[in-house]
Amino acid sequence: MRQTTIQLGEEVEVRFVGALTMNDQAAFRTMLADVSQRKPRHCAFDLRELESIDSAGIGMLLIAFSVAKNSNYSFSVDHPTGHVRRVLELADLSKIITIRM
Amino acid sequence: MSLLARLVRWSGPEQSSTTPANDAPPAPVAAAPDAAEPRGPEPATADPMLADLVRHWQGLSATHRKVIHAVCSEIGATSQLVETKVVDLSRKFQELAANTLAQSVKLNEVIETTARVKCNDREIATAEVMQIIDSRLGALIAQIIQNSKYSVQVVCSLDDVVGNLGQVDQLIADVERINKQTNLLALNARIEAARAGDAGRGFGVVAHEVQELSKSMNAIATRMRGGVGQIVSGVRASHAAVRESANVDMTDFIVAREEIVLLMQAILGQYRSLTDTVSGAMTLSREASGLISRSVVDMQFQDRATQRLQNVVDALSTLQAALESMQGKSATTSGLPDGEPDEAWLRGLIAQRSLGEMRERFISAMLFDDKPASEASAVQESGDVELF
Repeated sequence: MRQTTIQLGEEVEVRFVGALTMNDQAAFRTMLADVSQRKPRHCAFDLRELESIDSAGIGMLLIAFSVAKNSNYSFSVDHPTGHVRRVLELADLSKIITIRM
Repeated sequence: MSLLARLVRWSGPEQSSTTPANDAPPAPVAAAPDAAEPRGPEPATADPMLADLVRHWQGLSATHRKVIHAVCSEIGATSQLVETKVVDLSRKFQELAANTLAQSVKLNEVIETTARVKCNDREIATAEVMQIIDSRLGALIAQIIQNSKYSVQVVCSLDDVVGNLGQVDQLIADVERINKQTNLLALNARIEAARAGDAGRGFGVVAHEVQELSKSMNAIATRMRGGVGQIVSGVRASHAAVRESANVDMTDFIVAREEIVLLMQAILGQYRSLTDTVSGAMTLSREASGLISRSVVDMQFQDRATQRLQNVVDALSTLQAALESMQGKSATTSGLPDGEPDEAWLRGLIAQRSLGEMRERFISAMLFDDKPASEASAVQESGDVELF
């Protein structure tokens, strides 16, 4: 998985490319710490180029949501496509996290 | 006077004072010769042609009476046969209507039975089963992703613990290094105390104690290193196990929900299709039952048919009586004997019937005065009467 963090005013956007799995846990954790340090009002994970995600990846999205909640900024998952979108829908993730198609 | 005029004058109809039943035409009544009346026509026997005509008339009358008698019997038998069969048919139709109605009841039971599923002494609507399964699957998947979140958190925490233990290991190494320096300092102090002689004896004792303390500290540090090493090994093993567990991709179970939902929708669709089909069959059964019941009512036409046939038989009987009366009057008036049926003509009439059983009955009625067919056969075998 490759990720790029972009600051857009008070919003931070993180773009993911490839696959989000357990192997990306350390990098993900570092990225989350970086986002929190920026103290944004909103953080968006752009998944349009994320090709696949496993259950650990979904767990990481939930952790990101918890961190955002504890750090008082809003969080959303944007533009999931293909397999990722299907998995997120079947997992009913939209009941917990804001998903913007 | 023409032959026809003479015949009419001789056998002209008389007015009847009574009206026959069933509005049948009044039957000519043979009247006895009345001495007070004016002299009638001359006897037919006086005119050979007229006598021959009267004989023909009498023969024709006798023949027609036989035919009418046979036809009346046949109509009666046919009416009885139709009535029996219609009654039998009505009974069967009623049974059919009852069976069709029972069939619709059974079909209704099928719908009611398939509409609910019994599970753990609880009845659930079939349509609700899918909702329950989807709900349970949703809860299961929610649990799966929560567990995934916890697994990632545990892995992160264990990463931190392993890192912290590395720091502890470094601290122990620092303690060991300081101990070595302390031990070296104590040794140097003892050497310097020995050089100082009596003045340094007390200092030498202190240096010795410091050296002993340093050794004890070194022993403790060694034990700590061993203990921390065991903890590190255990934590690393747990970290590896948790990581391996977290690495198991559960998305197959999540995606399986889609397949299960599709299967359930297919089953539900099939169930609805079955229900529609059975409902349609039930409606058809009820309609068929109603149609059969109405048909049974319609078959009561037989009552009217029987009455009509009875009226026909009555009319023919009246005609037969009239012919008999006319024949008697002709015999009395003409002085000629009663005419005999034209057997050859009757045979021709019988031969034209296409039904064998009907021919047998006509033979019995027309040629053997209603004797049973067995006697008629005996007569036939004896050669007295040639049949066909």
